[in-house]
Order: sequence, then C-alpha cells, then structure tokens
Amino acid sequence: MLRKLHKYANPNKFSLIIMPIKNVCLYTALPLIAIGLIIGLFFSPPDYQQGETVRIMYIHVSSAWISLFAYVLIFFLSVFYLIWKFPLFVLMAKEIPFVAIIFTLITLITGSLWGKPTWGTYWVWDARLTSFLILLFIYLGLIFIDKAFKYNVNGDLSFSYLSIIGAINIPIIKFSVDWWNTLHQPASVIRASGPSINIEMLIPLMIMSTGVLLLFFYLIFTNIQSAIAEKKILFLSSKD
Amino acid sequence: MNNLFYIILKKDFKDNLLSNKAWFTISFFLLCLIIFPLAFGSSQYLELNVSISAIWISTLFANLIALDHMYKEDYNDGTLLYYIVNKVPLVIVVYAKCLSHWLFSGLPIILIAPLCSYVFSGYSENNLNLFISLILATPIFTLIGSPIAALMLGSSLRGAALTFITLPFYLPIIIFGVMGTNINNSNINAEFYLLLAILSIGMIFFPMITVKILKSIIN
Repeated sequence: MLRKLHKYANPNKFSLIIMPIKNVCLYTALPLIAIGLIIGLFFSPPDYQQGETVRIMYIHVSSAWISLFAYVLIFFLSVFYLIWKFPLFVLMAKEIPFVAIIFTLITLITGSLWGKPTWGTYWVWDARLTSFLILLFIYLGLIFIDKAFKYNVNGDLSFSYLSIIGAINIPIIKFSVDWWNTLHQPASVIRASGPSINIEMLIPLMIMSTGVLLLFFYLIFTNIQSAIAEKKILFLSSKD
Repeated sequence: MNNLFYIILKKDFKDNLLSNKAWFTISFFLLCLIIFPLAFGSSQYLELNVSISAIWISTLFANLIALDHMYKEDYNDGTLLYYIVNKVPLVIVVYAKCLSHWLFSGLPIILIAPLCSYVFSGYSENNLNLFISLILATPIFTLIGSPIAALMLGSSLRGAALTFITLPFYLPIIIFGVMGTNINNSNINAEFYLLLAILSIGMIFFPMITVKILKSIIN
C-alpha cells in the first residue's frame, strides 16, 4: 500500500503533482474567505458580552488554528524524515515556518487589537499569550537554524531534531487555558463535550478556517515548488 | 560503567578547570549582576523584585555563555569521534558533560546568589526560596541546552544562533522559577513541584535526544 506512494517521493514528480492541487486550493480558498468574511462581518449576530468586537474572532481563531496546525505538520514531517530518510519530507518541513510565522503574527496582532476594548490592555503575560509568543520565537529559531547550515548536510538533521524538541510547546498552548486561570477564555469549539459556541457564529468561523487552511496549503505548495527549483539550479551550477 | 563515567567526568573537570572557562562563567555572572544597580542609577538598595529578576537574568546568560563550549572542543579535536569509534556509550559521555557543565555554571551561582540578593536588596527572607528554585532550575537549563548545543555543531555562525534558539526554551523555567522565588505567593510551593517534574522528565529525555543527535551528526 505504502509502496505505491514511493514514486511521489521523487521531487520532480511531486512538483508536477502539486501543480493542479495548488491551483484548486487557491481558487477555492479565495471565495471561501470572501464568503466567510461577509457572513462574519455583516450577518452573524454580535456577542452578548463582547458586542461587535467579537467579529475579530473570525480572523484571529482561524489563523491561530493554522499556526498550531503548521507546527504539528512540521513535527510529523520531521519525524517521517528521521525514520524513512526521504529528503522531500524535510524539504517540505523547511518551507513551512516562513508561512506559519505570518499567521502567528496575524494571530498576535488581531488578538491584541481585540484585547484593548475587551480587557483594557493590548497585552497581558498570561499563559496562553506567553506560550503563543514562544511559538513565534520557535518559528524564528527554526528559520535561523535553517540559515545557519546553508552549505552543510547536518542542517536537515538539526532542523528536524529542533522541531521535535520544540513540539513540547504545542500541548502547552492548547491546554494552557485549562491548566491555569488565564484571562484568555477557554476553548469553545474543539473540546470534549462538543462546541459551546452559537451555531450562527460557528458557520462563518468554519467557512473562514477552511478557506485559510486552503490558502495556507497554496502558499506552502508554492514555496515547495520554488525550493525544488532552487535545489535543481544549485545542483546544475555545482556540476561544472 | 561507573568507572568510565568518573574517568570522563574527571577529564572534563580538568579541561574546564585548566582552560579558564570555569572562571569565565562565574565572573560573567557577577559582571552581569553589577550592571543592574548601575542601570538604576541610585546608590540605595534595589527593590526585592528587581534584585531577584537581576539574579535570574544573569543566571540565564551565564548558562548560555557556557553552553557554547559544551561539546565544541571535543568535537573539534576529535575526542567525540574517538569515543564513538572505541564504542564508549555516548550516554555516559553526555551525562558526564552535563554534570561538569552544571558544576561550573550552576553550582557556583546557586551558592553565591542568596548572598548577592542580600547585598543588593537588604532582604534575606526569600533566600531559601531563591536557593531551592535555583537548585531546581539550573540543572534544567543545562539539560535543555545540551541537545541544542549538540545541534549547532558544525554550523558556521554558532554563538549568536545558539543563544537565539535556546532562549525560547528557557522561558517557561524562568517564569516558574521567578514565581517560586516570590514569597508573596501563597505557601503552596506549586512551582517547585512543577520544576521538579520538569527536571525528572528532562533528566531522561534530553540526554537521550542528545545521544541521538550526536550520533547522527558525527557519522
């Protein structure tokens, strides 16, 4: 079963295959984001406590999910690379931090813009916010370690081991609102006893996060294609 | 096994002692501490919170400074390769390295920090808390630092990159350590238990990962 997938480990084949998938991702992501924004900004009801500021949530929550999901993706790709030693895995994993760091920044900025009218401050050092800031620095570190080994084989190994060490942070971010008494509200969508959020708010949130997820995939596929092309050019120029 | 551990520990101890790096760490700690009263610009006592945070920040940077030398010399002069070729178990080497690193960058700071806190702030009530939380936190610093120091072997820009990459992983320890040091907290000592839990997991987990990294990087 898995052997049938082996032929796609060839970077050339892979970049040919992701070409149509990439376009499908882009052309479904843009309408989904537009629809989600329109429903979220104009048709969804305001919150009974937060009022109209709740509409920031549609961007904030979806990009926060993406930045966590991106790290989980990096983690699994690195583990696969260390087990099966396919260079394509680490090639993919290395392209993710550039995209994910943008989503992390969007999350932090929209969150602090929302915090000013609701909590009264732009920033508090509570567990959720601090651990998310640490995630931003771990992404920076991953980019940095990739750059530090530009001409060395050990870079791939170092990148994957560092991403495995940094994965300790992900469960801390997810459960920080349950373990500590934080100012940030606890989870209301992904939790054991089902979502507690109103269905009229859940629908635009789901549309929005699907759109952002597809946009994220479009961005990383584009990055992977350019990375494969870059590798090819480097290889060709080193031949003479 | 024990014998081998003592031999490697003795070698590391001797290397550190003879090469001035041991004194460099502790003098960097003191130098870093002196900056704080000067930066506040007054000749009076510092506030208690400020002196505690000064001690924690200096501890952090002294540890980071010493981290760069943890595996560097042995990697450069081929001692690590020699260990691998002669089938010395790398676990022993890593534990000996961690212990010798802690003996030179953790232990002196633990002993000297309560005195510094008293000299700076004039209070001595929270010295026991400071002592206990430093005892728990400095081995964690060493243990977290060891896989990352091993990762950076063979990279071109090591010192700056190492500091940058290691710092985010130290932040939770700093948070719990400072929370544990403040006596204004209720007397539950939850932070100490948390630090102790991290230490006992890290004692197994981080040397294991370091061995994996060293093996794959040297081969």
